[in-house]
Amino acid sequence: MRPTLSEQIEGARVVLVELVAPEVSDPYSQEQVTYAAAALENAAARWPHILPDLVADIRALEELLDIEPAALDEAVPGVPELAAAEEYHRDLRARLTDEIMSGSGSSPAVRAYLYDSIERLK
Amino acid sequence: MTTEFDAALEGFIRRRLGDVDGLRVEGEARVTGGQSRENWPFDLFWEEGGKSHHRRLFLRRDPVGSVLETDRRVEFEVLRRLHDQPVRAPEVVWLDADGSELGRPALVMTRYDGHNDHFIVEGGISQFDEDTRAGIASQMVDLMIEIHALDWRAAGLNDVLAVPADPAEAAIDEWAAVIERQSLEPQPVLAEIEQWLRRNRPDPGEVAVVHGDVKPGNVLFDGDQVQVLLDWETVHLGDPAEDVGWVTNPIRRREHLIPGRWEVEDLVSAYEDRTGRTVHRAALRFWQVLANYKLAAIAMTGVRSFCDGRTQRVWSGTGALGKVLLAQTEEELT
Repeated sequence: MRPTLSEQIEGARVVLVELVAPEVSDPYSQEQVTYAAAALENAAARWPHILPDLVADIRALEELLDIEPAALDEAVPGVPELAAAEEYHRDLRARLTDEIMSGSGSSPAVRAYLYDSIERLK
Repeated sequence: MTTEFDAALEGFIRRRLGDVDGLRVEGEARVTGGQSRENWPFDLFWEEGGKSHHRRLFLRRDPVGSVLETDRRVEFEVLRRLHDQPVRAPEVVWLDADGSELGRPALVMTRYDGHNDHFIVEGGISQFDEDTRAGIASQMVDLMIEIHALDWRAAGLNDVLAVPADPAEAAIDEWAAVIERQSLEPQPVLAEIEQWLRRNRPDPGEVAVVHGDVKPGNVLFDGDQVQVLLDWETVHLGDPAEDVGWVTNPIRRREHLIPGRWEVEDLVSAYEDRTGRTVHRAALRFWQVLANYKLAAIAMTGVRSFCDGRTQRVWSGTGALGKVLLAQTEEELT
């Protein structure tokens, strides 16, 4: 459906940058408007990828933690719903964090996942 | 129009100056530039003993939601003890330790002349030529040395600050606790970094005053001369190499280094030549990683403040710092 959510967010960002920012004279408020505009830009670019990237990260975590891939479907039947997928993802990340904290050294597989996950979840 | 804050500030001052005539507070307005504290410069006028008085002051108050949770009482007590010491630190005047008078904890200090230029070494607002910028970068090293040379026992700082038996371990513990307290979700990258830090921490050595955030953005300059180092909220006793690691941390390059002219080795060699200390390069690497681990803890605090609705700053992702940390810790230190 048009405008897409990305287009709506981008439209809000343009209003903030082109209409609101020039009228703001207080430096503190200017700084906050800049941060808000940057966040909108990030949101507009990222939101369509959030669910597929989250699912990809879940699959990578399942592999790393040696969990059957079906676990996601059990946790979130059918097409994953974002909140449920986020919760399952959080559980897996907590498990990985515990493993790292109890480990004796760095694992190349863990490091490879961490690098990739930063890209996927930025 | 008198705001609630104006009235609170005037009451706060009256309770300290006593029964004086013509008390006037002018020009107070929140200025930008600090993410951890609210900064309010103002002018104070009063009549006393048949004379007119004027003081230029600066109020630093805790915001509702900060990126850093530190104690104004500690900062005040440290600065009070440093007043007669050979270090360019601001003079503190008054304290509201618990925020009962000004809404939130705050301290008032003397306001100094000078300009602030976060990227003065790179060019910044001032746009000095390269020789001048190299001179400023060198002065920043002198400023750090000035702090590390302080006799903290003689100044009584050990009455206010903890003396760590193992500065590296204490630093890891401190920032790991902040991450644990502030994180809203599991942090496997930071867990990985914490483990690396614990495996690679340097042996304890000399304990000195560590500022914790030496940078041009915390300095007032008179032209190309360093005047005073502001913002002592992360001051502590620790390993002086911690400050050297902070300023040579790769992500702070723009603040401290000049490509091809004043690189990490130039800065560290200047520090070593002028102090007679040796900064072991493995220890330097450790402290550079710790610097970014600390920044990650600060970011976690900011994200929580935002998500809790306690700050107006909108936070986006913090992944870039994680990537730097992973790259910094690819190898174990020898």
